[in-house]
Amino acid sequence: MRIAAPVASVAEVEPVLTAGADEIYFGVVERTRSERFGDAPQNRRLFANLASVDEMRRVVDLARRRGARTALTLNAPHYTDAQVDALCVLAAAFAADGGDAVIVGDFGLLVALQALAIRRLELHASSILACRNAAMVAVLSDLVVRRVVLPRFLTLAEVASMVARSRPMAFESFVMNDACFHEEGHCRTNHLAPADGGPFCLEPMETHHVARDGRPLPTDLAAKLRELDRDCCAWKWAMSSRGFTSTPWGLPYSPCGLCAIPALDAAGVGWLKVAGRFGPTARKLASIEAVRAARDLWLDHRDGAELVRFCQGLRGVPDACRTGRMCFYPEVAQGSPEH
Amino acid sequence: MGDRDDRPVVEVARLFGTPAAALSGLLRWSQAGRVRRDGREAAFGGSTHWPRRAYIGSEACERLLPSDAEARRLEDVAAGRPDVRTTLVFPPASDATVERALRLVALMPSTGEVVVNDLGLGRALREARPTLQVVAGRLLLRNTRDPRVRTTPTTAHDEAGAIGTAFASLLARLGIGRIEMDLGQASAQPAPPPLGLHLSVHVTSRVVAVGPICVVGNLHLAQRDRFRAGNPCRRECLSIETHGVSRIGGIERATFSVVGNAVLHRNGAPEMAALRLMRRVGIVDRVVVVDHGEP
Repeated sequence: MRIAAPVASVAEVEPVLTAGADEIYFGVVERTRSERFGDAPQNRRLFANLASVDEMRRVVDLARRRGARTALTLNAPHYTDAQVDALCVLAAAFAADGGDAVIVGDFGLLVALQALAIRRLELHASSILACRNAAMVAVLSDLVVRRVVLPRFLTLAEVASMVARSRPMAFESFVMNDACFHEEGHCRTNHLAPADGGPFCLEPMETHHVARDGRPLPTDLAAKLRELDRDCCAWKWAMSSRGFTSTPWGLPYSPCGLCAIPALDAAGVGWLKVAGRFGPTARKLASIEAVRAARDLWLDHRDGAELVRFCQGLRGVPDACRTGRMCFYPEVAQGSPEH
Repeated sequence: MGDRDDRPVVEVARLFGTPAAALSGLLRWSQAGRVRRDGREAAFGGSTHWPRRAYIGSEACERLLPSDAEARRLEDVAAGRPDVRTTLVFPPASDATVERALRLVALMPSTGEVVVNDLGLGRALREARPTLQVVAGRLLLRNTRDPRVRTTPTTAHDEAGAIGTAFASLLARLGIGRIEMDLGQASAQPAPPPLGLHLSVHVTSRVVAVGPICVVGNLHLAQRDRFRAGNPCRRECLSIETHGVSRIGGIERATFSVVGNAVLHRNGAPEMAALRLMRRVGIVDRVVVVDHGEP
């Protein structure tokens, strides 16, 4: 099992690779492209992209010297025809510089890149494409996609079912950082600046429940719904790195799937994804090191119970881990011996 | 079916929230030949545009698909009404839902219609029944539509025009000849979708987001079991919904509703203006009205 991790600058390449990444991924948003396409989405994590093709070239060169792979994210959920044309040019330049893969979030761009058949360039399906079944993998396979990044909220049973029916496609699963409360492939909202409300799913909004038949809600039901709302806020807080905080040693209290490594390995998931392109370098490094340590422990000992103990001790809040509320795959926490 | 002002012919479809509502609707159509007009139908089509197509299923939730028995009963009733057509609507699908969808379409006429919000499901259904009419659902069009962000005439995107040529070619490869979309603000010159794709628009609400977790569906669960993908529900979404308001500086800037695992924004005057414009230039040939039981 190998680790894919993000970089947001040239300076991050060396430390990220040293921390344990086998592949680095990054976006490039050039100023000229921003000027040309205005407010049309360019990439995810808009403020954590490389700023030029020259920077991209340096990143690829540094990674190649270290024997690591590089992947360029082209993962806005929707591109116009004009953007598709521009991004095909960027992808060709990336391949010419020695880049290995593009992570694509838009079907139209995927079709265009398939038609272009850029030599040596692998196509990877972003989680934005929300691939949840083997038939979808077949669609992607027809488009010569070589790797599928799975959505965050799948059960391990769903992962195993899909992967088993989809060989020889490669799969990548999120195991560290950055929950999405909606399915990101079906979320059409903006992550606004904090002063403007921030992400839609985290903005504190006034809400009230209503009965759909127009009658008043019974008092006891209304009280239960208020309790559910409070609990949902607590869950979102836990899944948002416990209020976007980290341990004193820099590891974010972020959602993770490390305890599920044995199940992912058994299913045939070959790549473990560390998210968090926009985070500070220290957060990236601590995250990658944790994933590497967990992966190595599993590969060396093949002892799932030992791995769960190790992972739940990583942040010093094992009780929080055991609730499953910091988990991409909470069924593992629920089934762990300590639960 | 003409219109008083000779605008292009448009088919009206109604998405029912539950199989029972669909059955009741079909029976009412059978008895009276029409269903109640609501404001949107009247605003859009006038008296000649009673719904002639019943959408059954769910765009967002796998739990709201009809059972085999319900689907059989619906097809039986629909078979007695040659002037009413039925369409099965499917959400994004797991492998298990793909299997279930294959069973359900086996109960339909071979030339029946399905709306899919998952291209894999569309491929699987077409392979199983090559004469099936497959429609790309609105979740497959992913332009940003955050109700908190006010579009201006210079930033308004015409969604039909934003359907990329390459994406349309993929739909054609998959045998998909129609696509559904939400309404945005009117652009000055709405463009038809590429490659001759037929266009349906949803007039009731637009989808803001669909999630893997249905909050209200966790109501009956103990705290430790809540908010997990795949959790069982009791279809709480059919009786409870959530209304929300986003404010900035104390001023209301957007309203939305949460129905099950979907966040929706009710269409208003700007969207209806967009629809009128699109209709005037003849690029819409079906509108979809969502029944109270949406999504």
